Amino acid sequence: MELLRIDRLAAGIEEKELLHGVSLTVGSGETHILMGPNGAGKSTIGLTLMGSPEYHVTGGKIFFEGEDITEESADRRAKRGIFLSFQNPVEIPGLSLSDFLRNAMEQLSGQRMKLWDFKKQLRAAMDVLQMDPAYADRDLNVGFSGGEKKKAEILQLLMLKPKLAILDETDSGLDVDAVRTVSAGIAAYREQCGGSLLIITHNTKILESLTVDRTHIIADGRITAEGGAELIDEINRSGFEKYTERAI
Amino acid sequence: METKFSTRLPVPTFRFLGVNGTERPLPAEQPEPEVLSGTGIQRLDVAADAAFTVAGGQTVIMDIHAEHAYLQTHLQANAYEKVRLVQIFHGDSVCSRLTADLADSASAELIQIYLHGTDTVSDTEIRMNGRKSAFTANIGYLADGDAQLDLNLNVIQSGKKSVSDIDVQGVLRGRAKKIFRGTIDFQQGAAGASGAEHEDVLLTDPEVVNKTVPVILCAEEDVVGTHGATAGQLDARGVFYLQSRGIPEAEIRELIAQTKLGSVIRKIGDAATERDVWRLLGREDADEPFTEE
Amino acid sequence: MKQKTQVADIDRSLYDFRYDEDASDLLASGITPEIIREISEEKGDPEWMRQFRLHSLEIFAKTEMPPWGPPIDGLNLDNIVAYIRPKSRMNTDWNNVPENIKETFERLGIPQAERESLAGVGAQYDSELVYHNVRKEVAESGVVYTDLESAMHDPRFAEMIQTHFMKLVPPTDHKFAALHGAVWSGGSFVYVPAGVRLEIPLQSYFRLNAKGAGQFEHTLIIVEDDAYLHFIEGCSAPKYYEAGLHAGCVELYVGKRATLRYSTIENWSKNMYNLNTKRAVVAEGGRIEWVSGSFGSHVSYLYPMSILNGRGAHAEFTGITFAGAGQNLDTGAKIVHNAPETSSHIDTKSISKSGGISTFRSAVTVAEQAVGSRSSVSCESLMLDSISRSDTVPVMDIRTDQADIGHEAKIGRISDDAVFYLMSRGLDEQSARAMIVSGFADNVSKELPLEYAMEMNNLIRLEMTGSAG
Repeated sequence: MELLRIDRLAAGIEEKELLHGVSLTVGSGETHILMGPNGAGKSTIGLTLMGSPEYHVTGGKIFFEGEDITEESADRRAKRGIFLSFQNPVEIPGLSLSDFLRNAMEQLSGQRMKLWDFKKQLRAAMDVLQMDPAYADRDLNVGFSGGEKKKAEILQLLMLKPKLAILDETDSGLDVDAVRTVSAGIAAYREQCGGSLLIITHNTKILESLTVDRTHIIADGRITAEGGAELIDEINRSGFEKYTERAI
Repeated sequence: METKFSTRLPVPTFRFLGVNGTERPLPAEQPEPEVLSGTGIQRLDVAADAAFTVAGGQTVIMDIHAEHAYLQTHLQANAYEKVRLVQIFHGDSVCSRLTADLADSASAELIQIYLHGTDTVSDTEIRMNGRKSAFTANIGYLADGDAQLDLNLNVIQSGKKSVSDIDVQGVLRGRAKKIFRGTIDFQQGAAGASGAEHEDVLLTDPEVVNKTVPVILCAEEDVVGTHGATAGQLDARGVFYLQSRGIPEAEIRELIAQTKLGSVIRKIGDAATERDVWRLLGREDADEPFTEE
Repeated sequence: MKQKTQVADIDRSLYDFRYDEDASDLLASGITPEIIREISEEKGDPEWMRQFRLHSLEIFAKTEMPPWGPPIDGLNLDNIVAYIRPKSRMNTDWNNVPENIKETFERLGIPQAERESLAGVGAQYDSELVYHNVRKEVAESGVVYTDLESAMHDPRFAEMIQTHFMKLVPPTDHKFAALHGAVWSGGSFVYVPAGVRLEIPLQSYFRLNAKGAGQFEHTLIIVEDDAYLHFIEGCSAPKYYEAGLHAGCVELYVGKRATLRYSTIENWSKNMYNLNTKRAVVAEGGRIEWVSGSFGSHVSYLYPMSILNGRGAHAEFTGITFAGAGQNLDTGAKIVHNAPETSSHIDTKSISKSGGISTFRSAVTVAEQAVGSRSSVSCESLMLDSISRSDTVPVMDIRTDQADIGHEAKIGRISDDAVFYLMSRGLDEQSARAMIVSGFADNVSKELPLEYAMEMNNLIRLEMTGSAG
């Protein structure tokens, strides 16, 4: 069943168009990989799908569960079940991780949450990610290391249980152990809610425990190749070069 | 007897800025100071003109909800004594003068929270004469509506190796006007002293007026002084980040404004008072920290 | 007890030289309407200027001394002779400049500087511009660089001057602006037409000479849309026993998308009262860049002001102040954000030594309409001993929620570790400290043309060790 459909999406920042008509469909429960060289427009896709005010859609449409969400604000999209794991999570001084998460969960469900239930869930999720519980009381992302920030993103994924998780370079800059922990978090998400994944990555380590349904190669703001999991191996062998010219 | 209550920037500057001082009329009669001594936590309900002298060894929490009142407080910390003062201001037309004398190795901790007051003038002078005396201040304010908040903090460091640390967190909304003058004054002879001050203000409405005057005066070579101040809006990236987790923009503004004061409230160290302050901020649930079980 | 380097009072003979002045030209001491009329007549002012001077004098008489800042009671205004007419008239040829004046400039290295491909030199000897030359190619591009008095009589510029003169700094601004309006004399006029980008800097070197003389030069610079100018103003004065006064005025008009960089190294003799007013107004997308070094004078009040009136206008202020024995230097900057998306950056350093007092004073104001504006202020102070003083008095006044304003200040001393580190590499303590102070000043020196950066480093070295280089 179709969950997300991007139809000839053109988008950019300020005056500059970065995506030139990208089309892509993700079905329920599927895992998609988006790969491409630096500057290809990978992060633009993630941020545009989430509704970043910095990016402007200049053409095309985004559909989620069949509804046009192209003009919707980020919080509305989140309520529909879209989640973006940020490449650079923002620091919010003064707002503790736990206060934030509880507020977000209450917004999504539309009802108050019992503190005890919340704590229990948070504990469990932090255990999966081997996070020190003290982080719950720390200000959101403030003073977190790169790895801790990525874990905090996956923690939010586990707590908010979206239908579609877009992971933007969630594995970049992580050491081997951290990649393993983050992978475990992603696996737990799949297991617990069976949501779809759109993974933007360079690294194939994070994919080892996942069954990839489809791979998309993006270059210069256009999808230049698509295929199954085998495409990942080919990229690993010979790089992006042959895909930078060809547009499908 | 004084008839005016006045605050003054220790060194005057350009007149057009209107930051050199403030005056308010004083009540004709001022009460004799009540001397507070003993140990442990004392809670005071300040509903009218009052004067207190607080001796070392105590924590005093003042709930100041008076109208048209003048509050005088003096902290006297003798050698090696510690004193803590928590002042929660939420009255109307309140003038407060706080002085402190800190002897050798004495320390004072000041927590001031200003909420919803309409016209509050607060003048604080901390005299750190003692060697290795220490002063920390955590000040938080939320001014909204037509509130006017005028804060003057002057920390005079004459003691060798004295240490001061001042952190101010604030939110201005509506048509609120605020002046914060914070001075660290290193006197000659205060060798080895250090002082730091930081103010962080969040402005959330177009008609607010925010004035900040972070002064450092220095007549001693062997000191380290730092000052920082930021004022600004919610960071657009931060708003988008929180929005992407499903929180609407209006709620984000409220959340950030409330939690801005959270770091100050957490310093109170008295659960009942902290809950009261959260309630004043409109947070009915006023949670205990996550890790406290 | 830490060992302090003993530093002798610096030898200023390099800068403190002067020639006897012929007393015949000194007008009567004291400032009266008669003197103003005399000055005006002598200069052949147009009628509006004569009225302007007299009106300014009235304001001067009515205005109080500033209630803040360093004391200026050592200044006896009645004894300051407002105007001294030099022996010479305008010269375009170096050979015609009178010998003693020429010698003074030569000791300051000005003709050499010109030979080294500088665009033009306007050197003020006492009150009038005596030597003035703009390179041919600069003149051919339509750039005007002349003295303000001649320009006022030139039909091409007369109206332009009347509409701009003391409009940015009105005589009502403060007491010394009023005095300036009454007795101003000499100074530069620069006009850069739209689209002209002057790659080489224009410069002028001011000096005070006659005993008890005040200097009231006026600089008016208009940089039209899309143009670029770098103007360098250098000041140095010989030493006198009577208090001297400098109350100059600089008015800068920066057009749309234009850039003006205004660099100054002020090195007045240490009995001078330097009460100078500098102000720039910047139109849409324009930039003003101030680079300012304050070394000499007994007392200084100097806060160049940038008024950002057009959307996206930008101001940058980079400054250093060095207060030594007997000096009280009150310096800083003012920025007015008056339009949306304007931005400003202030970066200052100050050094206090041998009883000197330095004060950094600033005002950053952000008006309601200046939405989307940004400002950052950074000031660092270095205390070199405990008989000196260093104060920091910044003010921010913000009236919109859509602005991002930051301020940071630091005060401290030279780190013992740094001195030790340099000494362990073979430097003596004095040189090590001098080197660290020069490094501290590099925010300014890296913004200056090489020869000025070298001069500034020499000044610092002089102040630190008593000898140059």
